[in-house]
Amino acid sequence: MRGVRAILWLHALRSRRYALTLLSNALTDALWALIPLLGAVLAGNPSLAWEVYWALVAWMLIANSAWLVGSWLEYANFLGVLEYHVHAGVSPVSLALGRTVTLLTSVAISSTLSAVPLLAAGWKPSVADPAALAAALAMLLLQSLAYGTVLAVTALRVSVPSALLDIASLAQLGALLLPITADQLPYLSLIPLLGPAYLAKHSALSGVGPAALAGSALTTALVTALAAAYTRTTEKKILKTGFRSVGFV
Amino acid sequence: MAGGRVDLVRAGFHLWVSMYRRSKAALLVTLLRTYLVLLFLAALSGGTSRHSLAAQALVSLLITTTIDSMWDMAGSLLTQRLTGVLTYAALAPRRLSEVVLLTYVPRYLAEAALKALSLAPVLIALDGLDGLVLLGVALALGLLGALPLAGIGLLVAMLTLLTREEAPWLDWLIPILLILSGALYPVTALPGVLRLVALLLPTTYLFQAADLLASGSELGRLPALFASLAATGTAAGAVAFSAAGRIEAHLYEKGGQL
Repeated sequence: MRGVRAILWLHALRSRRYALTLLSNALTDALWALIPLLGAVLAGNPSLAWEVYWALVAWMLIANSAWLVGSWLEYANFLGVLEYHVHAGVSPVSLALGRTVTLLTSVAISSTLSAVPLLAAGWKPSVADPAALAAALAMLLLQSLAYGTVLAVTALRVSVPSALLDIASLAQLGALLLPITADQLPYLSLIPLLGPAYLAKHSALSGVGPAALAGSALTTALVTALAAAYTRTTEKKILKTGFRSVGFV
Repeated sequence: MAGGRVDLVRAGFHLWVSMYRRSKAALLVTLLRTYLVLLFLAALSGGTSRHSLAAQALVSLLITTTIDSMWDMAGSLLTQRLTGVLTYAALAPRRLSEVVLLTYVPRYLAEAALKALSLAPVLIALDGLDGLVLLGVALALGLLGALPLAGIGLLVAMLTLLTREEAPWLDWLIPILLILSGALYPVTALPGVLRLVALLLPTTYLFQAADLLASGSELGRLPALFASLAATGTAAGAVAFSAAGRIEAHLYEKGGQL
């Protein structure tokens, strides 16, 4: 990736310039998360509430990758700045992946806000397997970025707004809220995006076995490799056909 | 008169027909969202009975129309600002608020009708021929939703212009509106002060009507609900339009935000 420092600096500056949008995004996520969290708080079960909390943190990573990374290339295309980056030898996809800065900032704020009702109820953070939680979130971040990249690149190929490509976000939230058992975990861990999210959710309750972690690692490797191959193919195509839009600057 | 209200509605119609003709996949995805919201509601409640699913289907339609009306008008204004055409819209013979609202109306009505029709398979599968009645109810509720949602969406859109942001920054109002309106949990579960706020929101009556119509119980309450919806919807629209006028005046003085 050429110009990594410049790309990261760009998105850090933009995060400050558009701080209101960033805060709004984080607050919106926190409010959507509050809906199932309040149900868990009203049920009076702290371990259930923290399980739901980690499921929601996982969902925020997935949904924000679609929004913040997936929608970025469409936006940059609309602005007409992609051609300049290509001429400068900077991959548009690396430009979009720089949005990881914005993503992590937004998720950090919304995760903190979402924890407030649980902490206010006097329930201390509960993680039965912190190492598995960290590994699950790291794998989820990689898979989410691959997902965001696929959405962004697809939006360039077929001209469907990437926000609309993110049709799965609410369904993913619904799927993550469904109860799971420990014996299902090795199989569920193989599902792209949902797999590591289930691991993160389950780590709040009890330990996660190596088989489930290995399954998720395998899926992560596969998903990122496929996203990279898809990106390379599309970038080659775009070098021949150009971007499918007319910019305004 | 060129630039009259009917012309604006017609222009909005051609704009959105053209947009969807160019991107049929976008239309398909928009229609799928009612089912995805339905899945979210089913997971949230854990309810899988036929009645609760039918009720949730109606609520999912109203939730998607609420989200869209609060997002689309604001998003459209920001896009116009970004591309530099908002200044021209502001120079039109009609007020900017009217241009925004009237060009959005065809999209709202068409999408509300299409979203209602997209629910036909699930409603008929759940209730057979009675599902067709529920389909009519879904259609009516979707169209009726224009009354409260147009004003709220317009106000959010105009407020969005007050800052130099790149995306609608008031979208956090959507979950708040849905929570206060009883779309996700009953209004009775809210604390006392918030219940009073809920009484002032027209969307509260819309979601209550959806619940009663889906269950078929206490239908005698419907006239009172619709009267409350009309009263609060009209009041919200009047307040929103007046506030939008003040925001416009502020924007014209400042100039830069256009």
